[in-house]
Amino acid sequence: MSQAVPSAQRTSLAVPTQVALAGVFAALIAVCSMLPPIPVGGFGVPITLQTFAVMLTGLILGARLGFLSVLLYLVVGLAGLPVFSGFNAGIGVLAGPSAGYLLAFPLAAGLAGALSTVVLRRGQAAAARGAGRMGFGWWALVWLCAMVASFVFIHPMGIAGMMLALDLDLATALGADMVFWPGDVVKNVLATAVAATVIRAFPALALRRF
Amino acid sequence: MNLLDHRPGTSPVHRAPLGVKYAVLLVLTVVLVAWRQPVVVGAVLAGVFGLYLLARLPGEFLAPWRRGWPLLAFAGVARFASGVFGPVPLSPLDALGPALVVMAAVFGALAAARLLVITTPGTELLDGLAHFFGAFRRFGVNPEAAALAVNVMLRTIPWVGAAVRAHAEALASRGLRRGPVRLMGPVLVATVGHARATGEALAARGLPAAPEPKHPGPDYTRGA
Repeated sequence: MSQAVPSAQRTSLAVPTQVALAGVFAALIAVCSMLPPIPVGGFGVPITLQTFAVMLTGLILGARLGFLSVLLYLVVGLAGLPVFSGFNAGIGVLAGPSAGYLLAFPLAAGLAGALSTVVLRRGQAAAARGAGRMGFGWWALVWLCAMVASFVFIHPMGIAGMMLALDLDLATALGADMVFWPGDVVKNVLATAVAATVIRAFPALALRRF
Repeated sequence: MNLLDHRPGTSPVHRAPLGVKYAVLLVLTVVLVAWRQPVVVGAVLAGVFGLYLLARLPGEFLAPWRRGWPLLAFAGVARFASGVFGPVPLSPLDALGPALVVMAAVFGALAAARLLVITTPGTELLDGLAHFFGAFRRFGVNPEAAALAVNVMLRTIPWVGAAVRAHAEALASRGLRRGPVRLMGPVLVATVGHARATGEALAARGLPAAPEPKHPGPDYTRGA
């Protein structure tokens, strides 16, 4: 990637490739939801890799395809195939505490994809002018894109979902949601680091039009 | 499709059209979320148990509790805490009731959803999904492409699981600690590679079929 990427080269992927990428990333989210939770940090708070996979999908595939891929995961799970965490399946999860989080996932992936597309374009243009490779600062901005998407969609909708489904007051729902904040920061760092690896291996993925 | 534990049968619940099953499930779920009276929740729970009896699967009724008890326990504890420490503080005894009602409602919704899954073959669920995508054709959804993506997803789940295991073993054999980035970085590179290969394989087979053109032009492939 030593050349600046002219905007004319930004082309949509072929339809079969889009279908394959959407399906494969939906499968990745399903696997990450089913993997046993990993204890992290001194408190041993178990985190699942589900939101990691959702954010990663947005960062790698961009807004449109990332949104569609996570939506595919959600629709397949609501239809009754056992792809949600804890092997729950079907419309019944919409009455449970995770409903708001699940419905927020496609929107969060879309927003993370849209913001990171802008950052990746600027970063690659700067890299082409200078060092040849996107520096740490650019990847920190990509991480920020994921954090913004978390706090615009996942946490507010998760809190609203818990208030509605469990009949909680705002303070309790906020407290229950805040348990996930440290894990969320860590997971978005992981997602950014892995996205950096993938985009170095497949630079064409960063050429998307949102 | 061995992920699904389908319990075959010939009861009216098994034989009901899939659309009816989804409609009943949706109504039950909405009632359980919107109408949190103990009487209503109790009646819906009894109704769901009645459907399990009708399906001749009464032993399966408690399965969502066995699998999903952490979720249900979380729901109960959160509602209890909200009752005791919330804006209108209740005594712990008074807060117990709403907590149990919430747990019963979440359980009822999970049990109803599971009844649909265990009384419907996986292939029928997939056909229903393809049919569902067709309803969004006018909004620019390509139903064939969406159904194909579902199939790619379901076929790829075992592949991703195997890739995670293989890379974890590769790290272990080199004596490295299994950090999340060290594991998921190579897994994701392999996964994107797999997706590209899948995309090429689909393209080689002419999939997904191009949508029918609205105004077909003259067919030059046919002889004059």
